[in-house]
Amino acid sequence: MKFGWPISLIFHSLILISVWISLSKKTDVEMSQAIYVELASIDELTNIRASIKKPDPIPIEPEQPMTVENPMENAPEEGDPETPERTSPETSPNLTPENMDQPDSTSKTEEKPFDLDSFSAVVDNTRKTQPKAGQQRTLASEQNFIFYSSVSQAAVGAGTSLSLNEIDALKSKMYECWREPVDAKNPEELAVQVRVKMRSDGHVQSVSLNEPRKVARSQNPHMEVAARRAVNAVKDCGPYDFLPIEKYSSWQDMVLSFIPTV
Amino acid sequence: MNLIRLIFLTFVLAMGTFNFAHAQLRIDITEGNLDPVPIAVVDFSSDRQDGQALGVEISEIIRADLERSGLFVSISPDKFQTTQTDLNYKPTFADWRVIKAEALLLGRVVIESPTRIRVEARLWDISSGEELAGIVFGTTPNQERRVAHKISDAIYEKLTGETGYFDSRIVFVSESGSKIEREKRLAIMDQDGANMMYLDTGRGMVLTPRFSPSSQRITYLSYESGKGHIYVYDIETGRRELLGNFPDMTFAPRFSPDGQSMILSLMRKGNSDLYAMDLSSRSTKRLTTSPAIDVSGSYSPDGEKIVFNSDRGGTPQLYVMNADGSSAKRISFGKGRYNSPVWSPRGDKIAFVKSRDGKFSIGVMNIDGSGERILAESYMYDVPTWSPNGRVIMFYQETRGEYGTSSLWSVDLTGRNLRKVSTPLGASDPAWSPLLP
Repeated sequence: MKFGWPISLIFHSLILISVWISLSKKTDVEMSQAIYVELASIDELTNIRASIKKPDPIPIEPEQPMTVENPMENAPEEGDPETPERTSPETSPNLTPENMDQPDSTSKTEEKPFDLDSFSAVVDNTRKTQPKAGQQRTLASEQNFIFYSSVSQAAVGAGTSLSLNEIDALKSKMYECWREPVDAKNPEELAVQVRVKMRSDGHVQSVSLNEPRKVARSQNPHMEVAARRAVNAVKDCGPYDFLPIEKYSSWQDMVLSFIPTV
Repeated sequence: MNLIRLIFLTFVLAMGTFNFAHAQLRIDITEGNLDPVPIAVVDFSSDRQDGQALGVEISEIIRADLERSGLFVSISPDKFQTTQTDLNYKPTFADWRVIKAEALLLGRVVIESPTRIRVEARLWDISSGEELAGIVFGTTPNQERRVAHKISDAIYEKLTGETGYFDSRIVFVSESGSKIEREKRLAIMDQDGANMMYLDTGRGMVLTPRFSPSSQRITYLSYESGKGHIYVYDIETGRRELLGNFPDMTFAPRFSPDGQSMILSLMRKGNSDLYAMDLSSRSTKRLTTSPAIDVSGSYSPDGEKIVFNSDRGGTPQLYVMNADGSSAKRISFGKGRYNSPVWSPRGDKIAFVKSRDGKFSIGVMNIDGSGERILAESYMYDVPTWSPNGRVIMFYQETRGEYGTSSLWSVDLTGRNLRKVSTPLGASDPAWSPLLP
């Protein structure tokens, strides 16, 4: 115990000496030059879109000069004496009841044997082209939609999300149609989420409240009006034809949150 | 093994949720317009000619009510495209969409007897094709204005979410003559300026009328006998009651929310303090004891708090305290002098008059003093009063000079729609009634 303090003194001295030696070397710290890197999402700055393979061009045949098999000069003119005159029905010798009831035996064609093979071939062809049961015929525009939809769905990722400009365009469109609840009591309670399903042509397919229970349970008397105004805004503002078709996969199903100014 | 399966299943479910959330675009819409709602109010139909005249009058009153609120724009009937306005059939919504109507009111007047009419109306939302309200009122033919105001209130409530304020009245001081010899009489009118009548004989000056928030009673100061007396006047019965003789100067009495008591300022020994008076026992209780001038007390709608004006900090500022007078706390800190605070019936705002650099302005702030906003500014604005729904503020303006006149004005809580209220003579000290029963 009586050697405790000298040992402590020695060790403390050693620590102080080592610290003095190590810090006595004056070294200039080289400050490396900072390089500023601005982080930005590529789709915010560029308008790169998913590449869509253009359909093969349809070969255009060279235009042929129009040929007329029956020239107009050969057509009979009005007032031409060769124009046959109408005959009155009374003068027609073949329209007597007797003649009508008795078909001419000479007009009968020779009966051919029933060809089952050729008939079944016709049936088979119609089966190939007829739609299946319950299947509707697709219009050209629908086929176009299916084509773009499949392309945009296959290309989900960078370049298919809406750019800031496009989102701003949507917001400014909503500004025109959304009548904000002004100076309502407790406006922070009046945020309404609306789920919007869109057609590829920008028309609204369906619009509904995303959280109907929240609206129904709200004690705020302004909530019903806030919800109705949000839904009506989406309905009345359409069509949203400025949204790019090649990004349809990103905006075909949206949730718009209408948040009043607090 | 089961644990591994559970973990795997949870992982798969989590990934599915993540993908779904990633796929759905979410956009916050934080800015909307403040444009008024276009509404089409069709002239109410009737089988009888006298009923048709009544129907047209009711429709015109409703259009004027809605327009005056600033929250609606009434589409002129000249633009209506359709002739199908029968109340019993669904409207042809496409015809109303063409003229950009967002709401439609159809109605009819049925004359049941010479002394009885029935007024029916339906309110439609054009966008959704949904019927928002069906309204029926039975009354006497001379009550057509009140029926129209009540229908306006129903429309206002359905389309804004707030209760209306059209079926209410304003009591005010009608003024005539120059500022030196001004005659001041107590008067009352509908909120749209119609049906004005005097409540006193004009024998003495009246000041600061205030409506009870819960009944059709008013209190005011009268100087009929040369000294100021506080009266309570029941508008329904016409009965006037003297609250008592106060030997000292009294200021601006105002009812509590339940109408059972009153807050007023009494000047005793040169010092103004706030007192609460029980109307049944007439006993008073002192609420403030500061040596400063404490005036213009106004209760919160729940009766728990009082906002008042005091110069205890050097200049007139606004303070909020408990209803028993405890825990007074300053809430106004802006430059200028704050006066005449009034608590909104909705409970979320306090209206006040602010004077600075020789100008007076009407403003509102939150009950903790935050969010101060000036709604109107002029040479002289004073005595703000809230509409029953806490959405509109009425006040009076005085113009310069010996023959300067005073007039009533109203402004929306947003600061929009500043309008002059039509009165036959000069008018000051407005006080808005609660909704009529």
